[in-house]
Amino acid sequence: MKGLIKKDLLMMKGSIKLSMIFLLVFLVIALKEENTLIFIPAFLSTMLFMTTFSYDEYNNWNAYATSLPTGRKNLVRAKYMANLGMLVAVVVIFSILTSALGVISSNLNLEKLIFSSFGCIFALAIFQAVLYPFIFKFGIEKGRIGILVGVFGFTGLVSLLKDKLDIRLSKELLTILENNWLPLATITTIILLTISYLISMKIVNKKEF
Amino acid sequence: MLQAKDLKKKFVKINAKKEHQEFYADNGISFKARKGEVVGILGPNGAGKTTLLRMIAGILEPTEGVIDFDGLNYKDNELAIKKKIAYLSGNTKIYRTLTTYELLKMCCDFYEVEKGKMEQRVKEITKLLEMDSFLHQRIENLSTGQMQRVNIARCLVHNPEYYILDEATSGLDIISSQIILDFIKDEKKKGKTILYSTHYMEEAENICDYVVMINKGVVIKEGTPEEIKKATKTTNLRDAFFALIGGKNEK
Repeated sequence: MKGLIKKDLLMMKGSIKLSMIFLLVFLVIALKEENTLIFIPAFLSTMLFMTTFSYDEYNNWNAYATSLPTGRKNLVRAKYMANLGMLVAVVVIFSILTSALGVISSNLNLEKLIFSSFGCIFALAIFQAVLYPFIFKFGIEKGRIGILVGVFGFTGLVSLLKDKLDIRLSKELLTILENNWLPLATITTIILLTISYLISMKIVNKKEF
Repeated sequence: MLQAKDLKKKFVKINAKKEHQEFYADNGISFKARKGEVVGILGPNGAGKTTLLRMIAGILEPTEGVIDFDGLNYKDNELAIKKKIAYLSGNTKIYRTLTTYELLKMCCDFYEVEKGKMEQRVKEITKLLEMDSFLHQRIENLSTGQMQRVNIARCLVHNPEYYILDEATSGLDIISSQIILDFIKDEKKKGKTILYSTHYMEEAENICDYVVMINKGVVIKEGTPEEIKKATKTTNLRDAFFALIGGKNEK
């Protein structure tokens, strides 16, 4: 699996220069703003990782990969792990840089920084959990369309239902959620990632390349 | 020895009436490939060659039948078999943004070549295929012939016992094709077994020890090129093929 992860990281090598420019831009912005700029580079890193699926499709990689002694299970596992690893690394790097800049400019809000960092990881890990089974099933292009339709459709449906049915969360529930957001978000993310991984695995095991 | 026994592969296609229709791309194919033998899988486009080789390479699972590599089968020994084989298809592209060196190291990782031996193996292959001059160049900047050598190089990293080459010379110019054909001859001399599918009958005649001719998913004739020509009273495999399918107008 190590080889598969290294392959995906090598694929993104070409985008490193562009990523460095982004990094500089975000650092400059971070100097002026408060500690809320971690999401954009983290989101970009996830999007950047998606390009590895495009490379794979273009190069007819999956057929070749299934002839390797790595096993289909590892093809799926490597994608999840490489993307999550990269996401965490980007968030950690930006958190450190942002806190350093915060200390220099004396406007460090540690609580907000921690919230943003964990929030980013959870949000994008869930995004990955939803997206990956679509990509493994339909390929990157159709998968992207599927997820756009799915996300916007779901968001639209929820807001429609919320307006129609006037659903409001009770104050008690909101307090519980607010006080326990870290363990709740961690558990939710792990559960969703596990379900997503198992679905993807099933898809890839059945798929004929 | 590689042995394929009664291999069948069923697919489902959608016909003109938008109905799901089952069909067999391969329907009961059996053959053997012995050590140090080049076995040609010959047939026109759509005969079932690619499906057959994909089953043998472990990419597709046969609907029925057994594939046996030196007494090992895919059901119980998938990863052990895959360490013995190298698969190269005309369709498989290589990651063009990488350098040849990066690609070879990556392939060494896939085959779990020991870290201490990795550099040595890359050096050996580089020397063997004369790739020193472009080892650290990005693959997208290489000529077709150089790219072909890189393609071969990635199959060599784990020193496989079996090569499964699917239309590997398809669409290549004469020089690039020759690189592949020379490679096949060299590996045969080393006692490697090579399965080689092509629709270029003349090419197969020159290089194959044994030929399995297939059409519409079934074996229509097998034997050495000489045996097939003799049996069909023809002078080359192209004519032999037409004789076997009942003439040039047969579709």
